[in-house]
Amino acid sequence: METMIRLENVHKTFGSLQVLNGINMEVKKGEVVVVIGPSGCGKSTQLRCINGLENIDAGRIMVKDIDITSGKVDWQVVRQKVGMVFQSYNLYPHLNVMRNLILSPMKVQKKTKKEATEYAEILLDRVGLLDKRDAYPGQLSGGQQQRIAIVRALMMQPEVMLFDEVTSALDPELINEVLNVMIDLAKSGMTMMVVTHEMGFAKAVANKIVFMSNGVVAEEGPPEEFFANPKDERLKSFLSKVLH
Amino acid sequence: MPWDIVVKNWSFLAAGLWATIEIFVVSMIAGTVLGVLMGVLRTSRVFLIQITTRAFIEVFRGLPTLITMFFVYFAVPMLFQIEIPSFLAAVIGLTLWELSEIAEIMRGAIQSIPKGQVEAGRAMALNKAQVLIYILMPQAVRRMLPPLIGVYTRLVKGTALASLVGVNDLVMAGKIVVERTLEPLEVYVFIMAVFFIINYPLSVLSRKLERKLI
Ligand SMILES: Nc1ncnc2c1ncn2[C@@H]1O[C@H](COP(=O)(O)OP(=O)(O)OP(=O)(O)O)[C@@H](O)[C@H]1O
Ligand SMILES: [Mg+2]
Repeated sequence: METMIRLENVHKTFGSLQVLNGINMEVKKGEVVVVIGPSGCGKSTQLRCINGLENIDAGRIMVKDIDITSGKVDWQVVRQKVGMVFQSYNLYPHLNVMRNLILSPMKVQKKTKKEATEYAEILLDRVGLLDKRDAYPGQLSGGQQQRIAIVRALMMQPEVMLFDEVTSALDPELINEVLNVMIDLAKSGMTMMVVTHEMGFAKAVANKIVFMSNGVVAEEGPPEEFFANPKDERLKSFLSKVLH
Repeated sequence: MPWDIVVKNWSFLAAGLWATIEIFVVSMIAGTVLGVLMGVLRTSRVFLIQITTRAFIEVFRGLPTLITMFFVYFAVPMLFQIEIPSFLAAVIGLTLWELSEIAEIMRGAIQSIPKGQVEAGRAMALNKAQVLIYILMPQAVRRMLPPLIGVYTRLVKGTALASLVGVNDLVMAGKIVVERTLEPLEVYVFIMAVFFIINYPLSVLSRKLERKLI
């Protein structure tokens, strides 16, 4: 199967802090890879490096056949292939839902307003928020905002989606409405890389779970084996905490 | 009290009022356009741009506008062997102060927008200019509106300085009428009323916006 994302020996420091310390990882087309690990181990940093929000110090990152660490990469092209959803939604508060959704398709992909709006309506309907098309982000619940943020990323018709703890800021009763959208997305065949603490989600849809610790991949494997039979000591203690 | 002095000298005072309004409007537009530009440059990541804009802003915000005006009117002509008409000197002096104030407000407004907004825009494949135009500026403008109007009311007051570099503005016209008639009370009440009438709506607007935007 085609490789969508490949990290080869990726290193990243912030000042004197070594955050990524030789990461190797691969995400194939259609795969759902869940990334877990203790706070501060570099999960967000890793995702942010994949769409160029951070630059790496050494190693190589490939998005399909594009080496995004080559120094002469067209980010507008890469970012259309790689969608990203953030923990804090980051919707544009001065624009209503529809304008949030159609901004990039119109400005970057040069779609007409009509085309973009029609596609937005299809996606909004799919997440059950078509009636919120004229609402402003401030008028929506966290769960609704996050579903809109997912739709906003999907508007670019990306080939991979990155999710960075997208349910962590939500009240517990709102988590499932967002997870359900992600589960549907996974079942539709989208390639996804998901940083999350939701082990239920991981068990339900992940093809592979990656445990990061101290800036490296400490253990990886399919969910059944991963949870039933963890080998790395740090993973064992981590799982005992998150699985109660 | 002879309350008809304003009426008798109306055309003279009106010419002065017109000059005051012209100075205000020209400085306001020039200062706003240049101030917004300067404010955006001030947030640049290029060190040289950052440091020069910062120096410029600090200097002209700190100087008394009257001194800037005097410098432009009296000193610059000597330096460059050119003549600067008093109207222009007044406008330049006020604009330099105002644009520095606005640049600082603009910088603050841009920097107060959460980092996640820029990141969302970039992740959504917008380029730097698009992030600035469609995401940062609209949010910054909302935040800067109340303090911006505050600058405008101070600008209205600042126009009174123009008479000191020889502009025949409302203040100068009033002074001349007083010297001719020896009736300061009516003339200055009239001038005070004019400034109040210009500035009061601005401060009401500012308060309304503040309430609406918060
Ligand atoms: N821009 C930055 N400048 C300096 N240090 C940073 C920066 N971004 C992240 N760090 C540091 O790098 C380390 C890894 O951060 P990162 O956000 O990738 O961790 P994480 O695994 O996502 O943690 P969490 O589970 O808390 O989200 C942390 O120690 C963090 O403080
Ligand atoms: Mg994180």
